[in-house]
Amino acid sequence: MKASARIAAASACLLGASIAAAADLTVSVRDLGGAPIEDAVVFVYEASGKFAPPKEPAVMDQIDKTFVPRVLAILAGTKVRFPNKDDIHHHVYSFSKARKFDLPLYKGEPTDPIAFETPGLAKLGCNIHDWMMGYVLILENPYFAKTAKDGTAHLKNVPAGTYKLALWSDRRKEPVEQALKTVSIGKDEKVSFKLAFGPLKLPKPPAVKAYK
Amino acid sequence: MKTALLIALLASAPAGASKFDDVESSSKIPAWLKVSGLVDGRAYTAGREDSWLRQGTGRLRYGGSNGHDAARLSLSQASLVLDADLWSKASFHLHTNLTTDPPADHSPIGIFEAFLQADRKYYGTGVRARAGALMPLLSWEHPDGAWSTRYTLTPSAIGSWVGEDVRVFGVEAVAERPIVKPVVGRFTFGTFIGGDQIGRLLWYRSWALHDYQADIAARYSTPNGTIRPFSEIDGRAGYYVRGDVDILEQLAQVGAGYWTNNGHNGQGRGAGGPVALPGPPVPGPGLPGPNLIGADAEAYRTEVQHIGAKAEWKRLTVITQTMKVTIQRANGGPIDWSDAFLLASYQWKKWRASARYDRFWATNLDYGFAWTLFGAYDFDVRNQLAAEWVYLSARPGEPVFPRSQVDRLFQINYRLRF
Ligand SMILES: [Cu+2]
Repeated sequence: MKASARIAAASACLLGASIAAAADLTVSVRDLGGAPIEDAVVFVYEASGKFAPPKEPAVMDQIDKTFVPRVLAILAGTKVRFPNKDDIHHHVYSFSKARKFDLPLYKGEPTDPIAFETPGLAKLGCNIHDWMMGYVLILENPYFAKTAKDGTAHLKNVPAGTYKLALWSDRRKEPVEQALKTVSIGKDEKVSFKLAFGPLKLPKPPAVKAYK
Repeated sequence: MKTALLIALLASAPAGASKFDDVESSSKIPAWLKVSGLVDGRAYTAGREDSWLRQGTGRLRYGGSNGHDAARLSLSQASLVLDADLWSKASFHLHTNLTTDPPADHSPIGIFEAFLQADRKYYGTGVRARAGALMPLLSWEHPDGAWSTRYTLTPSAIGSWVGEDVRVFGVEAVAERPIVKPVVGRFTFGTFIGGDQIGRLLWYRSWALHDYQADIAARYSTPNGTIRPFSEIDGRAGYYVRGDVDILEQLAQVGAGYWTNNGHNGQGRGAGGPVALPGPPVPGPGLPGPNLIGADAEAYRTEVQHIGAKAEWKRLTVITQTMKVTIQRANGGPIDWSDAFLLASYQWKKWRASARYDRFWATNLDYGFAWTLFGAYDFDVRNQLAAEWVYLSARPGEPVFPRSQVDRLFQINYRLRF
């Protein structure tokens, strides 16, 4: 399985998009009113194969008491660094089923990156700054992308075939299974999601420091 | 953010939930409501004197019984805190407490704070307004949710007194803005009614160290009568002011303030003159004179001056605060009740160790000190196992209570936050 994925990746690499083995897909995500949705993750819901996580860890910064990026999508098995770029301490934690962890009071780089092995959602918080909020979405295959400000995401090098495409956003309460879209890679070049989204809730620090 | 646990208890995730779901927002608790709180369960052994909370002479939260040491279990505090967003800029805060060890003859359940709050930024100045039953900012030791202590279980004599005896029913405004980078200044003003018998507890018992938190209907039944600290007697509103400066956010903070109930020197509402109270004020735990507490109708003029500072450097936190409570009654001069403490707390990974020294005195009436040693292990941000030892020694002045008093308490506490 691993070998075939590697061959597919290698051939995609060598031959680019000129063969039907793999193709790109542009996904547009909008709400019912047509407004673009940022920070939504579109991903292939199920893909056969085993996928080795990248060797380089992903990064979830803390800058000015904010998780940067707000939403981080990774392949299961990826390690994530949590560098603190502020002058003050943070205490990052997750109580989510997919990955529970606790990084007590640190400045700079906490010792080791955290590995996220189980697919699912890890919601991040900070024990010092209650309002800090971030998400790590842990996915089963590498065919995912996050929407930019204009609401579009670009999935690269997806092997040809028919898939269910899923969408995750912190602004949606419904299970992702309720909005799966069938796409045919190699045939479709563009798909769009038009769904109901809740209000964007950006973490907002209190106007007056809470005397902590 | 800390609601997941409670939600897991109250509502299971809906059927057909995906692993990519956010368990918290798919629960039945609406997004505009935040539920949090804590549960403190405790095992302790305490010295012979029973606590003042149960009409004894001990000055700690727990004591022995019938002159013997005691070892018991206690649900020292369970708090439920609701924060509801009313509209975009305003919220309602409700904090209720439950304990198996309330003061004698008092309900185990009560409301600690209930207020409306609004905050927003105007051109770089943060403004926060609160209205309702609230705790004015006087303690440096209660930074965490549900007005809980972080560095020890038992707060200093100052923090203890604030928790047991101070609440205001009024409005408060705080303004905060950067002065010069990296210095932030903050100014607080509040005005309130109630609180005409705040201070009466000090008069009766002098300083104590404990973590009982009064509710807004606070009532202390003592051998010499019932103390209701929040009664309004003379119809005069009190007020408080406070100024704070923060340097580099957590590195150093200094704050000082003044608080008064503006009590009319012992005058009752419409009394037309001071209520005559025979005999000099004579405090001392367990030995109050017959006229010690005075008439329920008497408004105590209680003024509080306080200054404190906190520094956080790497894993070390140091806090010091001093407070002088001046109480003026109908007859006799004012008496000053003072406390100063120094606290050092060190956090290393999941461990914390703290030590605090308190020194307290009251003009010619009481003199004492207390040591508090604390150690804790945090399993995670919600679960903590802690042990604490408190030693208090006091020597109430002659001729009231000529023998010195020693109170001891050792407690092991499990704290669950949600
Ligand atoms: Cu933080």
